Amino acid sequence: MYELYVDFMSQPSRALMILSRINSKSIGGKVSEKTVLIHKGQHRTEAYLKLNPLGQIPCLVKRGERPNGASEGPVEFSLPESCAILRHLCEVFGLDAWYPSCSGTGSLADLRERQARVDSALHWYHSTLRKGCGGLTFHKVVAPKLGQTPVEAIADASKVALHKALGQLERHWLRDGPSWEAIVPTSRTSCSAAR
Amino acid sequence: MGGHCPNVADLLFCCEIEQLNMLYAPADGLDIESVLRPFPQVRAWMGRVAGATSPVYEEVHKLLRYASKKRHEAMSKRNAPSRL
Repeated sequence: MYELYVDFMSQPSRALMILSRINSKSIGGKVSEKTVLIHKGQHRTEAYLKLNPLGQIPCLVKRGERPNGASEGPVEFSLPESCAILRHLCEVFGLDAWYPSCSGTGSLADLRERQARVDSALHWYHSTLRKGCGGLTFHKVVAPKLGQTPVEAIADASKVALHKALGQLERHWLRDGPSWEAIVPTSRTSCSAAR
Repeated sequence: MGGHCPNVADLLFCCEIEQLNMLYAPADGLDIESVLRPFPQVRAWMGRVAGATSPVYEEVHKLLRYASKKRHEAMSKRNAPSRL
């Protein structure tokens, strides 16, 4: 059984909730959402830091069987970092349309290449879109709410970074042609037999 | 990215950009509309991803929409010219 620790106000949390909710049939109730409210500091509590010492949201936690008398099963696996969680859930539950996870009738080399294309986009995100968008909204919106002093210079730099990232998204990642066609799976159900 | 069926990168990127809804132009100097104006492909793609994942997409963005509206209202009151 998996627990997905999320906050609706966290961007990567929402991506994970969309993935798990839309694939609820394939997941079959094996992932439950647990809300952690960042604005109330719930990600800094002792209980949460035990699950994820980094104190970040989102986090995926896998629990073993609940022993008699215990309120919950032991933590077997704790996975921070949204991109790793997105990929892991797809691989565990065979969500091939969302992240290529089975070769189907194709070759392993083809699967590796389709995976690498998505990985490339996921890695690109951190230092570009996330940095720009996250930096801008943090210093304009979040910092004043948390009683922190917003740094106008960081907001300005983030604005420039965001503009550049959106340009790359527009011209590179969303461009027409074989590079993105190749990662569109041929069949959404090709993985079901292997699940 | 940008295919007929969204993948995990499409979800992650769209959810990130949606956060810009919190911005309020009169106070922040920019908002999601002004930021996305030069990028029509990005706007069209966001609409496609939201459509392909409907109604879950709107469901998980409900709180963000509400928080954005509340923030805009609070800031417009703060910025309103004083009667005195």
